[in-house]
Amino acid sequence: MQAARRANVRLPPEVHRILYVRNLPYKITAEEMYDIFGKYGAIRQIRLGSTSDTKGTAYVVYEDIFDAKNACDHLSGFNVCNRYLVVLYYNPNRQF
Amino acid sequence: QLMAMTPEQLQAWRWEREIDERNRPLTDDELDTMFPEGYKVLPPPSGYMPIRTPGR
Repeated sequence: MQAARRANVRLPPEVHRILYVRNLPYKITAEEMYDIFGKYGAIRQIRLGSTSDTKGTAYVVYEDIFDAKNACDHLSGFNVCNRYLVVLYYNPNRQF
Repeated sequence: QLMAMTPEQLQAWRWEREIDERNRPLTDDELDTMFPEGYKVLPPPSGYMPIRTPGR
């Protein structure tokens, strides 16, 4: 990761510091969220869906865009409570 | 100074600027405008220690 930074590897344009996560267990706790996503770097904020049509989804904001990319690469299809997480980059033009 | 750079250096410099712009700190107000309705902020659990990566 450090090497990639120094070599100025260009990030693809869709890479964003905010990740949109789907297929979360409804009863996931703050501890678990911070535990799963905090492994990849400092978290700026997590927003969890609280209404019937947003439940099971969340936005995770990382402090650093490289951490977000790393997390997205590693957590897509990650198994939590027998569910596979869907992790996408935030897209301002696609408000779910 | 720009003229003194090789094309590769210039490209690297552009990418660095682009990443810096995409990686600048976000304020809470900015964050608030970015999300649709129906989400609430999840407060970090007590004892959450963010992993600090060395600054670029």
